[in-house]
Amino acid sequence: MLRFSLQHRLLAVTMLTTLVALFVALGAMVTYDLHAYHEGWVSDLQSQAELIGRSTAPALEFDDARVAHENLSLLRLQSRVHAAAVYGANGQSFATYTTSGVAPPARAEPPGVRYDGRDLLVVQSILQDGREIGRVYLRAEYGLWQRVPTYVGIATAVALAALIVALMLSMRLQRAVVQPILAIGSVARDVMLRQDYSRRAPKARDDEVGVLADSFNGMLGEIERHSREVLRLNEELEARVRERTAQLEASNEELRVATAAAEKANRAKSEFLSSMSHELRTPLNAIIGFGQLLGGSVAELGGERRQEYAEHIVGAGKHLLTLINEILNLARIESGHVELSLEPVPLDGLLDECRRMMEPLATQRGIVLRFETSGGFVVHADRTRLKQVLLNLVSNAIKYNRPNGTVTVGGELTDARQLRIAVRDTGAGLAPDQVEALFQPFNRLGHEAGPEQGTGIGLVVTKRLVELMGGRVGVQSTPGEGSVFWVELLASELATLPKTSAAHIDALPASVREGPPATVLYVEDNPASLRLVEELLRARRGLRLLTASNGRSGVEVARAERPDVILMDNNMPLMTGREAQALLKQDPRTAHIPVIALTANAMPDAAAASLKAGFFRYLTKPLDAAELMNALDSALQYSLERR
Amino acid sequence: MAVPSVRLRRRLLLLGMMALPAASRANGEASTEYQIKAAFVCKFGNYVEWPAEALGRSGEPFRIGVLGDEAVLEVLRRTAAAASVAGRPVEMLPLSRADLPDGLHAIYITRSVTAQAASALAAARGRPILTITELDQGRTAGMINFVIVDDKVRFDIQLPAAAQSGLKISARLLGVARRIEGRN
Repeated sequence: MLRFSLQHRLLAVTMLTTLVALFVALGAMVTYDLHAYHEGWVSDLQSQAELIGRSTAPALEFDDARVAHENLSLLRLQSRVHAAAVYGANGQSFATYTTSGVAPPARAEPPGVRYDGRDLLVVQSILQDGREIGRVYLRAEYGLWQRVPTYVGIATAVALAALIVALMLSMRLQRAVVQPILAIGSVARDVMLRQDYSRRAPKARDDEVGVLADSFNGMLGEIERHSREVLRLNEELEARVRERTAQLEASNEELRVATAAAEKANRAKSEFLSSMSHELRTPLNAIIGFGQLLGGSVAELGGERRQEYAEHIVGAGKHLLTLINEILNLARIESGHVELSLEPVPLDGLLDECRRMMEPLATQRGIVLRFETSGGFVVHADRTRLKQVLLNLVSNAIKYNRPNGTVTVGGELTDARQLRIAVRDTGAGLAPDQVEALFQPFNRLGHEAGPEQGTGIGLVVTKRLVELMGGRVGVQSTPGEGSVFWVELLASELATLPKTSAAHIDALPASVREGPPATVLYVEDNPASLRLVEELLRARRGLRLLTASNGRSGVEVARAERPDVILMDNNMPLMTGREAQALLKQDPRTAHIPVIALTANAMPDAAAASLKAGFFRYLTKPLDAAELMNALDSALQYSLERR
Repeated sequence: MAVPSVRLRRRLLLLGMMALPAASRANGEASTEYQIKAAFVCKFGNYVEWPAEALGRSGEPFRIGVLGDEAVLEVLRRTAAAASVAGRPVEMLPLSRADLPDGLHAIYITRSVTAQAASALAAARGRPILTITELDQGRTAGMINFVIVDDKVRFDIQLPAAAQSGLKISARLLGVARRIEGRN
């Protein structure tokens, strides 16, 4: 349809133009021709009239109508003249001639050219020697309108012929013009139908159509590129969607697991609460019951019974206190409020301390304690917490042992990096299902009604503390023979004492070296750390070192002695270093003393917070000797200037 | 021949009305005939060509000698007063004898002096003078000779005499002549 439409329109334009041009040309020609014909015919008739007048003048002058008739009758040769007449000077008809039956008027009409219907009338004067001696009248068919149909016929024929020629010519010529456009059109249609943007339109010539083809091809190329790009982006997008979906599924799965874990934890918490409630009520039951007995019948009771009741109440109260302390302890651990100070701890000294503390209980129970304290091992742990763990395990081993049994405590390296501390008893042992329930709160494995007092929380706390220190706790048990509770922690080495150079000592300010000895107070609960600093400062002359093992005693010593510089550990029993520093800061007697923090907590925000709280310097363990000396020197300098 | 018909009379009357004052209409039919002939005589000059020297300078009158009675002469004079030949005024000269004075361009010999016609024609022969007569058949006539045909005034023309006198008579005049002698 397109094909015909364009061609037809071009054809119509050509034809219309041709037709208009033809009509204008033909019209002009016909008009000119008619005009020329008219002029010619009129002038013909006028000359005819003149001729007749001339030839008829003598006849008029000499009154010879016959001659005039003869002259007029010559008009028969001119078939288009229908009537003629000659009039005398007085206007009377002199001679007439007619072929069509139309008679000339009886009297002469004024000279001139007139039209009567389809006839042309010419009246002309006959002059003789300047006088009008008569008039000639001629009536001829005009013939102008008769020519019009002929002209129309000729014009139609010419127009038809011209149109046919133009049609043939333009059909032949326009093919050359239209063909390239049609080719582009067909390519465009193909592209639309098949969505194939790789098609290209042929470029026939270097004219506007060629430019059209080029532009079209360029456009196609652009579309092709774009669609490829869109496809690529789409694929990318799909891949991304798949990836995101997978991630979403994974995170859904994680969420599901986390939800399950949370539910489980929630259930465990509920169970814990109900157990705790039960555990707290049990001693209260004894306290309230024996209290009522005591209150109701004091008089009737003998002294022996009263003594017994009071012992029950005191025992239950102590048990309750222990229970509450341990629960609080556990709660602190669970809520992450325990600050650990991990450092190399010599195992032998720690075991010695435990043995000294446990010996009274063991002796009381007739249990033999055997501590192997000659291994020389060093373990990476928080000294206080590790001691708490070992005390708990050893006291359990004593309490749940058989009479006259033994408890053996010792350390061994399981590999180069792991140190295992084992507490072996000779008790009844545990069945496998009991082992599983061992580290649950308030589970006392059937000893609830037994003679041994316990909370059932100790092992839970132990496990949590060991895990916080990066270790593991476990148990191996043989029913009837006994159990081995063990703790595995990272092995460590004691820091070697760095050699302090003489040059460093010489660098000390003269005022420091030569003045009265400066006093340094070191507050630290870990003997190894204490020892290390003692060794480091021994090389310095003019220094007096004081020590304190916890925050509270540190504050007391500082108030009493007013040292020049205080070195302060943070994680200590009774009072932390931070609390002690705050107290010192408030006290006008000690506020001016520079306090250097010396802790195992290397978190940057902890350091920033400490400096903000007023610590002079913040040093982290393991200690760098030079750094310590630098800090100490500047603190001493500062103190000296303030003195 | 002598008595013009009613038709002729009416026609002559019409011509006379045009050419003559109404008061001068005397002499009846003869007068009417001569009025026509006078008009013709005055017009002939327009259809004849004279040798150049014969006509004289322009502005000189065209002279016509008349041999006839006084009545005819009077008619001729009146007609001539209103006529012209080749742009010249027409002058009528009465002639008493047959010999012709110089300067005449034409002579008109009326019927009343038929006796003198021969001698007058003889005197004119060879001279550039147009001779007009009204003689009957058989007699030697002038170059133009009036006749009456069907009550109408007509004329015959003798070409040899004209040629002899060096006059050329226009073919247009020949076209209205009744008879032409000497035409090959």
